[in-house]
Amino acid sequence: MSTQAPAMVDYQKPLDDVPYAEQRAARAAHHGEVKKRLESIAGPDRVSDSPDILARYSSDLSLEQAGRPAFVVRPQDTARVCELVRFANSLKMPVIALSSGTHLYGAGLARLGGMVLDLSEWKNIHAVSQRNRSVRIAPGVTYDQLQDALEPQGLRALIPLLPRRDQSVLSAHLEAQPMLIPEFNYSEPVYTAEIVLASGEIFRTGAAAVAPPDQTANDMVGPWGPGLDWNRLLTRSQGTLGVITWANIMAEPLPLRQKIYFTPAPAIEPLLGFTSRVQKKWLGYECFILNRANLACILARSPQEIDALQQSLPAFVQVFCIGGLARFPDERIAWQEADFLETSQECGLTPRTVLAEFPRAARFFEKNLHRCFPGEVYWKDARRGASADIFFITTMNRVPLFIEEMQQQAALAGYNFQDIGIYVQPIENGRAAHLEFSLPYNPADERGCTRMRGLHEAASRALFAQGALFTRAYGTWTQLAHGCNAAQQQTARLIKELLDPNNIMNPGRLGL
Amino acid sequence: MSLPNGAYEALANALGAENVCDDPAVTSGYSYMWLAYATHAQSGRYRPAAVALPGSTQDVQTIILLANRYGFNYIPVGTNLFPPNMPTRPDTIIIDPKRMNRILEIDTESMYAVVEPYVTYAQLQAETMQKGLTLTVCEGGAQCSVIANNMFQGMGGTGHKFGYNRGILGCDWVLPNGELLKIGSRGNARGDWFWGDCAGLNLKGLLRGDSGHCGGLGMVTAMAVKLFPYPGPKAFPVKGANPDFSAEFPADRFKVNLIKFPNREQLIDAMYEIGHAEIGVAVHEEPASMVLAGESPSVEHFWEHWPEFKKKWVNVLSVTLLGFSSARQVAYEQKVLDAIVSDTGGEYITEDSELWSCAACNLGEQFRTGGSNRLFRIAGDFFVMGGFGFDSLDQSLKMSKEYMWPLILDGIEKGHLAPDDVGNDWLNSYQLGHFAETEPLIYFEHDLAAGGAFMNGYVGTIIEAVKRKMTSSWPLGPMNYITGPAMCNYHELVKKIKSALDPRLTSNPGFPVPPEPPQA
Repeated sequence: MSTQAPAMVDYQKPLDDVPYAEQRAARAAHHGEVKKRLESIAGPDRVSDSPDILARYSSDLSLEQAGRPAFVVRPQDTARVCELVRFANSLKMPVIALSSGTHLYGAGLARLGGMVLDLSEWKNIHAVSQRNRSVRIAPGVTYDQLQDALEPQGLRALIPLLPRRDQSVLSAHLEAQPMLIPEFNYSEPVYTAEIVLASGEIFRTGAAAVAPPDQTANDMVGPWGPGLDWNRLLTRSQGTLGVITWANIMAEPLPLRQKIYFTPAPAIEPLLGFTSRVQKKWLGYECFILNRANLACILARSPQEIDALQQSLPAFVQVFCIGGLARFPDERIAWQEADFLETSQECGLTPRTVLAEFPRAARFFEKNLHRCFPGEVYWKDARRGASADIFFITTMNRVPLFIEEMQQQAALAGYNFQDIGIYVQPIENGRAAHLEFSLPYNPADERGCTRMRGLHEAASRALFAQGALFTRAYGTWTQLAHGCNAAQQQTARLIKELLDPNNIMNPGRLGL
Repeated sequence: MSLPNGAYEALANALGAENVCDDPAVTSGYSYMWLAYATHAQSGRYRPAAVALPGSTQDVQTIILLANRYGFNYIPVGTNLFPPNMPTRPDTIIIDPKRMNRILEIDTESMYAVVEPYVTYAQLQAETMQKGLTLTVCEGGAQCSVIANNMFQGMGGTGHKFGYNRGILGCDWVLPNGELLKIGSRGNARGDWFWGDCAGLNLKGLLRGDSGHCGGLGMVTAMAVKLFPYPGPKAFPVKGANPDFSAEFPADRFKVNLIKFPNREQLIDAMYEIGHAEIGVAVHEEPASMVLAGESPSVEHFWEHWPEFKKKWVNVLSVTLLGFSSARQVAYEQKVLDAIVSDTGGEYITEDSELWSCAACNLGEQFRTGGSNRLFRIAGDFFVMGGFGFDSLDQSLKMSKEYMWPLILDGIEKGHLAPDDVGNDWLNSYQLGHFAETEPLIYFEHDLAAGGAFMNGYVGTIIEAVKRKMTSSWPLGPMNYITGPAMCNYHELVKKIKSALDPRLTSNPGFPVPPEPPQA
């Protein structure tokens, strides 16, 4: 029984000392003052509170609850970002920084209102160093833009599987999206970065800390420190620690020639074993496994083709690419190919340069492995209009267990398992794997969305219980993870409070 | 030096009397620190109040809880190599994990090993090689604690391929409040070890950095570390006895190349090309002093041969090739290396030459480092000049030439440092040449004057680095007050983190950053 006494209420006294009309006027005046100040910092044409614009930022392609910001601001430079953040801090107004055009997982929704800082127009590729294999980019740089800039210099950016055209490269890197190349030395691709902290101060990581880019004597490729490992702390922080204004990232040698192999199999187990062995031999570049549902969505020329195409494809296919670099490219391909094929024989598998069931696949991947998805409708949206994804880190040998669990969860929800896309991306030469289930659904069907929400949550819980590691903790995954690691959450809160005492940076995300 | 009333008894009751000791005969052993000799000078002032030997994570939690309750300080150590291990204030105990020396698990599928703090590289590597795996062994020597090195910076001889500061996976970390924080996949529902990143803020970022927290934020009691494929023999193939030994690996899978260049600029060009071609597993510039010290059975031998040897061994790059997949890989990489050497003006040191015989153990050293201990032979003490930073290969050379060697030559002229004026460093490529660091090795007498000169030089190079807007790594403890103001005031953030996690400042109080700047 509670010992707390109930609050005393004087029912005779008016509840409000100020008439309601005056309250509304005051609220509007406050909004107007804030807007005016934002405009004075960012420029009048760079601040918006029009309902149409706000509505656009209020939801994304996820099943997460919508959240409407009070303002959308498109600042032009870092100095203005600093001032905007300082001002927001003085009002304890949330700040949500965005850099991609399309948002997928709810991390950019203004759950507690506030100001969206849209940096997607920041398209500068500040500097490319061929010698140091680095490129310094602004938050709004997209993949095709970057690859176009790097290719003439014999370089390429690390890229996730066929991203959207408006995917920010910087976001992909800071969110640690899995890249197609599992090479260990490419797997922490952020060298240095600049971040505007909640105080409005600028902080730079690694070798960039000692001076701004225009004054430094460094090449800004040393990723460690200063002091602690800030890059690690910032990665996957979903904007809760500050606004990243640029990052210097790895740009890798562009192969002069490449050879792609498709290894089909009726089940995933033999491909997992084969992939592990190939990765431990440190062979090749791009390497991943797709099931027929994903492959059909990627390769179909139109949504109508998907089902028929899916029927004709092998259950699982490993895609593997060998690249020849500047020195003796053919010989590089030759020795790796020989070792790759030898390993496949040991595993009883038959890689082919052409996917017999769909010969156009070779040309498609040849052309698009380093690029954004070229189709008008994004491949994950092609089947039903949207996709609810569940992805996490596990080990290669546990992938089948999770697939089985997902199958059970789909059955329980009455969802057709055959429609679920499966993508296995080995990480760090097969030390671990990114496993991703894509569950297509129709976003226009409200009941369908509710059912999908239920399946997504139930499946996430079941997979978590089996050991799924949700390193990119979106939505309810944060609560799941923190539920069994309280010390992590308490310590994270301490760090957040130090860096952002007013909790203005994307509040509510990561459980902070 | 004594602990607060009741504290010793509480420690003895919790751990067992045999696992706690305050006998000066024992604690004096923890008051000596080779590198900080000059500043701490075996005065006895810095003898720890006691030494505690935990046997488990729970024991460590108990010690830390008692420290908070009774109000004494503690320093968690590994194998005691570096200055942060030594107490610099009263009421401090050492948490020595000698009893925590177990390899808890080796997972060959997901390529990791789980170790306790006293497990050394030699101990672990001997076991992993049995299973076709290896790891990059600390350049401080294979006698070092795997956990301590990974928390300091995870450096190793094969860092060109196996990375720098990249070894940490799941961890059990006892915080300064005594709570157990599970890092990475340790925090998932199954408590797995296989991955180092977790959901939510990635607190692994507090464990590693330039030089980690040096025991200033509690103690890691178990860690999973990354292992890598290894196609070599199950036992380290050593023949002979120190210093006359060699390591003979299968020639079709392991190949060391020693290459001389006309100047360091061309050597750096070759290192870049090697990185771009993505070949090699270990790529280092090897200074003459290091090679001859490894070869010398005595200090007399070293100095007798030094005048001639230093003229011959100049601008030498060591490149180790490893066939992870097959002999085909080594053959291809050798062909690429030959082309690079030709394009960049290098010349191989041939296997029948005198120079080659001096570096015969080079291949083995890359995989299991032992040579660093032999560097003490030259003058009694050695270390690397500070002020170097982790950045590009070009930048490493620039730092070395612009401000490190002028200071070293000055020290040699004044008689503080041993006369190694060759101008070569131990310069390392990490992660396929994505970044690098350079360490000019310096040798000095084991006395106060020379040690003081070294320390002043070390600090001097840090000052020079930040003055020139170059990055400076490894500013330990109070040195962060030099680098911090020049580097976005990171030291203030680190101090705040220290205060939040360790409000009483009981966990190695001066680290990672002391609460106040040093007084002049």
